[in-house]
Amino acid sequence: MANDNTIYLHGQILDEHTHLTYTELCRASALEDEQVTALVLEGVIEPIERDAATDADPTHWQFCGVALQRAVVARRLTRDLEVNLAGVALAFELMDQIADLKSRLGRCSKA
Amino acid sequence: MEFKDYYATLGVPRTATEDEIKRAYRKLARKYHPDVSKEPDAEVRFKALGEAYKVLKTAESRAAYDRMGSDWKAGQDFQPPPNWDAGFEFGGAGGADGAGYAGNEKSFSDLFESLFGKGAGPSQQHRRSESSRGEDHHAKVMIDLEDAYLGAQRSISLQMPAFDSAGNLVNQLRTLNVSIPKGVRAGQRLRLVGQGSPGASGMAAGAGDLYLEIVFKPHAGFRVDKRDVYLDLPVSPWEATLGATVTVPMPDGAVQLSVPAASTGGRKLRLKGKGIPSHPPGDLYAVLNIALPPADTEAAKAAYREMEVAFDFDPRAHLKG
Repeated sequence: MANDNTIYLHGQILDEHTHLTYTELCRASALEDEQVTALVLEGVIEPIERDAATDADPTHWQFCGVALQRAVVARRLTRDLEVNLAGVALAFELMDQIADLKSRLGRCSKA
Repeated sequence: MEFKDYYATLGVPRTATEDEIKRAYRKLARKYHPDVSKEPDAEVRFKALGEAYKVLKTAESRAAYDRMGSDWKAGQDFQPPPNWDAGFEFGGAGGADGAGYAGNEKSFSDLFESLFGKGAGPSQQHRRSESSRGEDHHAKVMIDLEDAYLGAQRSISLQMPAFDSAGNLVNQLRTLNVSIPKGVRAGQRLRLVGQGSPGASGMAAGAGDLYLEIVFKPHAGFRVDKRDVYLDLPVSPWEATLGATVTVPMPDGAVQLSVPAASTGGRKLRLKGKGIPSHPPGDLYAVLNIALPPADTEAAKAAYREMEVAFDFDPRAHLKG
């Protein structure tokens, strides 16, 4: 705990209330523009309030904070395991299922 | 420095073909990838795999490594022989970079850095023409569940690539004091604006951001599911049957919980809004777990026998045809 005059940095929690622009998401995930677009087409990440007008120009897409987490993982999987984006999408679907099962398990008593 | 047996890391013989090395790496990388793996030491193993594969995947760096001889054992103290790298130039970079695991540990071993140079590690590729702006970095920070309830101030150490005064890329240990906001959940990221790599011009304004991924340390008493928190709450048979008010430990103190009469084991009692205090706050669920008192004294045994007499109770009545 701070018992001296140490300065603590304050950050911003990226959650479903946080909006990231297309450019912010590209930069923070270190993905190329076209890779972000491809992740949206594969359904790995979903823009907020997507419609025909924003689809016409992906740079108008907005994402919530959760999309960054998925984009970063997608980037690592493509880079480290040399899988393509369809493979990444499949991996996410399976990981989501595992997360769902694990949280169901966690809701039950361990005893 | 310690010698690293890169062949052993990948589990292949020294005579392995290029294809065999690739196959072994792919298989182990899928198993130990930190985003996929459930192995506790996945991140360490994955880094070791990446380093081994980086050296063994190209004929040139593999030959340079092989030239050091095969008599070394992993972990043995080691100095590279003179001119071990004659006729070989390690050019490329790849592997870990800014958006990877700018984690709390070094990306590459001492052996790797002495053979291939520190600059061979994290790469600073500037992808965009506008990126005189510094790179964004990602790292994990482990916090206690209590920190998410109360907020906390943590000092964290990060290995981050930076340029030294001579303009060389070096891994620098940075210590940051960070406020962990109340209500943060596992998997969320905390954005610290301007705490990534400095901009090319050294201007603070062009600095990248640092993203800290929140990970909860495993807790002995509580399980976390997104914003909800679960707790196994042991109760005695008489508390469950007759009802009682019991004290429930919480990550931010304790609350009184009323256990309704005729509760059975596994019943979930919800404490609305007592989960992680995000917006909206989660709930806390106490899962009742009926604990039987041991019959370890004559009086206790007598009490059980009295119960047997007092109840006309057949717990297996429903199994009978």
